[in-house]
Amino acid sequence: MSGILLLAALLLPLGVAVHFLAPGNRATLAGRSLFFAWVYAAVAAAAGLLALGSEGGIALAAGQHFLPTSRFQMEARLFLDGRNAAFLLLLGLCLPVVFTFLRDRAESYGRGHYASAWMLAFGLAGVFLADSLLLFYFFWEAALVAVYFWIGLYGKTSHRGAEVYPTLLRFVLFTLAGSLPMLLSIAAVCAVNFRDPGLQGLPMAVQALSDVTRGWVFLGFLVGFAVKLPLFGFHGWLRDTYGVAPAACRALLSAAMSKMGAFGLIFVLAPAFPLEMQVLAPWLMTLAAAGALYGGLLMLAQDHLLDLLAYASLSHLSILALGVFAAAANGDVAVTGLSGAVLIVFNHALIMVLLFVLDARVLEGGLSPDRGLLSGLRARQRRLFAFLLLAVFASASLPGLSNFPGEVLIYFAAFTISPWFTLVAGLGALLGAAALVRALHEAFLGKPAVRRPDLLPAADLGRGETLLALALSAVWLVLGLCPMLLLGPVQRAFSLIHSMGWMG
Amino acid sequence: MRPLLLLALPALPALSALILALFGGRFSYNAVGTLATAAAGAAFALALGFAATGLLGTDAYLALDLGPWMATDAFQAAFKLRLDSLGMCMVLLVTFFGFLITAYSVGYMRHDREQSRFFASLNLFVASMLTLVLADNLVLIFLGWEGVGLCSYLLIGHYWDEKGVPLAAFRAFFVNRIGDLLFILGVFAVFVAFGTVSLSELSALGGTQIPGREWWAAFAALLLLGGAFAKSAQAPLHVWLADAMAGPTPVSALIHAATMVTAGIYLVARLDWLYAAVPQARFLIGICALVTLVVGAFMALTQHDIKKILAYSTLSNLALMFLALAAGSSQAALLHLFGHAFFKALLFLSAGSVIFSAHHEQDARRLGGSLKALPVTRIAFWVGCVGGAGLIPFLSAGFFTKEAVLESIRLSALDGFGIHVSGAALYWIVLAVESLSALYLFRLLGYLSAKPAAHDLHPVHDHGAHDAHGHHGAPKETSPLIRAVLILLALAAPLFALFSGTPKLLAWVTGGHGHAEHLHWGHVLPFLILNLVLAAATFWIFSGNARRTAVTGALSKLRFGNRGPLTHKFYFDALYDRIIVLPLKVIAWTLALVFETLFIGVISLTGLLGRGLSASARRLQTGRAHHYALGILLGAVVLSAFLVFHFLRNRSF
Repeated sequence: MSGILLLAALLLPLGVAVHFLAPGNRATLAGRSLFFAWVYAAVAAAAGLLALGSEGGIALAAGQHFLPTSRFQMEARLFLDGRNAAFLLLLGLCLPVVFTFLRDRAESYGRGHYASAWMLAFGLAGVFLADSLLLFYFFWEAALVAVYFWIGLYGKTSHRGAEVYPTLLRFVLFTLAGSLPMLLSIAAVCAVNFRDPGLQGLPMAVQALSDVTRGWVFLGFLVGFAVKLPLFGFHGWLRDTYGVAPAACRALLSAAMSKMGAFGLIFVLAPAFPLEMQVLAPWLMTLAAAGALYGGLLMLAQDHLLDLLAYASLSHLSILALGVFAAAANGDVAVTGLSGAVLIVFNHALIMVLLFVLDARVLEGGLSPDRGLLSGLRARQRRLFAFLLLAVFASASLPGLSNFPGEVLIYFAAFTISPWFTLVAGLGALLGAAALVRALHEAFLGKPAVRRPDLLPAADLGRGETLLALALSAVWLVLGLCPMLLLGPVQRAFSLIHSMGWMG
Repeated sequence: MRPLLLLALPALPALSALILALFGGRFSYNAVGTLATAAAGAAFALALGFAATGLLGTDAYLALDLGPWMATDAFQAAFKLRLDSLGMCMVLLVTFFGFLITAYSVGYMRHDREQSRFFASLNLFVASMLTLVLADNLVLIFLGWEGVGLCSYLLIGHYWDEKGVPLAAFRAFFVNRIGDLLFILGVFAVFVAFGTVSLSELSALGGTQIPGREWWAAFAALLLLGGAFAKSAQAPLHVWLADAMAGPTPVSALIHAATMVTAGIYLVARLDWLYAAVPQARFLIGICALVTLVVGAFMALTQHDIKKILAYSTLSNLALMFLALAAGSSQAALLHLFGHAFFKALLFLSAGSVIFSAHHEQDARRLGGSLKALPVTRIAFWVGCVGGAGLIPFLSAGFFTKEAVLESIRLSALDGFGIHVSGAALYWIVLAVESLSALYLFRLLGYLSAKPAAHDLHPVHDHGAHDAHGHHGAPKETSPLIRAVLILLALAAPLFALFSGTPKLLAWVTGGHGHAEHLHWGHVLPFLILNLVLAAATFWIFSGNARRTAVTGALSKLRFGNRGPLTHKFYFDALYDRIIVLPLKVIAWTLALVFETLFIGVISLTGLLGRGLSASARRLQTGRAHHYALGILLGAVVLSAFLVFHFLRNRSF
């Protein structure tokens, strides 16, 4: 049963993507996609909760010789335990949100839009579930390809004037610059015994490498994940890619795809390279704290809500990375830092997805509010503003909402290394929150005015959207007040791994 | 009472807030007001029930442990509520004023808009404050701590489409957030130092565990102090409080009397054992409080906006409480917290009644004579002013509590960083500045009692969109609810004053451990008389239009109050603009222009590099056969040379 659920969680998106590639009734595209999204949410929730509830998680394997004609041993294995269940859950929950809120505008999109979206979901599900390194890499690139087609087909010149194709090229180059070293690392690991050790076997497998080789393998992985997350300095693709991408795509980019990088940090670097991580931890933590502050500072200089959200992503994900690096630096807080990071992975996704879709719902045509051109939108969009404000406070880790426990654990883990890391990262979060609140104030409060004729405020949220936003907020509230629901199984899973001697 | 009922204290108003936020728009105004008042009233009734169990004045406590809130192997914070004697006093205070102010608001907000949002925030405010005072650990306190911050932000921004209001809300949010960051860092420092964040465990081991951890303890004390300063509006983090007057008046009463600003005092008082071990922190408290005391009192003297006068007076009173904390007397600080709550609530609610009946006019100069037409408000205002200035023992809510503070200051001294300020010197400074409270309160009362000038009753100005009620003309007390609450409070304040003269209150806030200082009437009487004379003279001057014009004219000739620090809020705003806001903006824009271009350009650089390499490589491909032939020849030579070399070296291939 659990095996079937795992397989469904992986293959359902692929099936839906193929379904949308076949010719069909264009008018029902949005509705069908939403339907599948809910089905997928149910599947992901079932699988995720099953994994959270069971000791040691669930797995599905297809035999040692997945590649029949080769001497190369590779086990096609999927696994889901307390650590990665949150990743699958967030993917399942984000899809219905995206397709519900952007449904009206999606009418103008063709089949390619939905096929790309579901291909992306397929790639993401694969990355989050696959144990085999080669499969992991395959899904990693599949997600990239899906985004490439999605933006290439439906992207628009950004408000900053960034063109679609140069931006897309830059995105692909950045990502390849990260994923090719990662491929080399995977190849180096697989070459040891001519066998794919899988994520679970990776900590053992890298022990067979010489120190120097292991160092290079580590760096290869690190670069790949640093670009995807992105870490400070590797984020050159971020702002303009969000700018040109269709609204649904950018919501998934921030909420779900950035979590591929987080997944790599948590599942590859932390368990398999404890020594390397520990040596580099001060530098990596500095990089992460700097990223949080840099994102927050840059948010002060943005005129556009969309850019603010892009840099907010950078800032928040840097805090997440800070937790992983702190866990590596100090074995005493290993479980705390990693559990905090997983909590942030899940909650950040659920908050950012709403922020991005609501941002696209403020103006007609999916435009994002621009500073100084609009004010007093609240008169017309009361509910929209209420949820935007709530989401901003949630993203700023208001206690009682879901981001808070994870951030506390990460801040505490970093604090035990040095209070400076927490102070700098916290300062970044503070500035970022202030910039977001100020931007919302400028667009929504004050006397109603629109100072450019092409900016048309959209209608307020409808009944269904309000209900969904309420449901999401309820999840934030419940996980904010009872974080142990998620934290309990997550940290149990990490404690299990930790007691086996991995992670320092 | 069952401990589980402790949960109901914050849960009742929180639930009401949730219902109002979700469905309030569909309810009638009366239903909204009734629900909100009933929730706050139920919490008050529950608090009375708990008080009847004999917690007050003893060591007994009730605890409710709901398991871990967040817990890993390295960090634990429990969801645990604890009600002891001090907590009981705070709960009574919060629910009593929360209930009265909510009821008052039902009258005050009747003609307003978005009432359900207002009442939802009001209820949530009370719920957050209750969480704060019931929480047994610092992380849970932080839940309430940020909760009151959020609610104050929402309520200050209530008139969201008016000029200046969003900015005021933003400033409250931002300054409080700075404090919150320091607070949470302080919580971590406490955990690192002591291995727990539970208040009861901390105070149990606090005194004994400090040796060897002085550094962490000092660090924690200073960081938590940052949080307390922001919440309780002490310099240099006091700038948000006066702006916060942009909200509806009942909100100001709630923020200033019972919730929010008292949180910082409460926190430092709870952690008294920690601050006792860190004299530097106490010194810092003393200095900052002294600055705030002066800023508050002098600013209150020069303002004309009724609410701003009262807001600055709050600053000054909070500074008094912090001075008591600096003097090591948390009991005096807590006593004055309660005394202040009574007269400040009365003052703000009376001011609200004046403002309400004058169609939201707040300038005291244009409200001449408004008290004449408002008999109940007039009595309440007088009781509040007499209480605030501490003029009549056993009748002024602030008299004994203020004396307790002054006495604690006199008996102590500020020591730290090699500086010594004797208690006597401090006492005289504080006494001098404090006597200004008689001046600014009776100046205000004088303005409101003066004969109206002909143009004052019908001020020609824009009432603003929220002034939808149509009863223009002479001010009248129209709302029975407002009158009822004012009467109740005007009776409660003297009762409290009587009560505060007995040792009972002290026993309540200290759980029976406090020891009262004897009041030296010989010390007090001269100043009491001086204050009475000051108050009477001020009132006499300001209640007569001709006298007032003469005096203010003479003062303005001195250019006192027209130029200089008083008109610029002691330059704090300008300073922050220059040393924080401007540099941040410059840094942000520099990063955006320089660094971002760099990071984005990295990949373009690699493109350029690739293009450059291929450009040079392309030159080799000339397309001429003899060039290629030459290349082949060169290659052959190099290869043969290598082979020959290899053979010569190894004597074999």
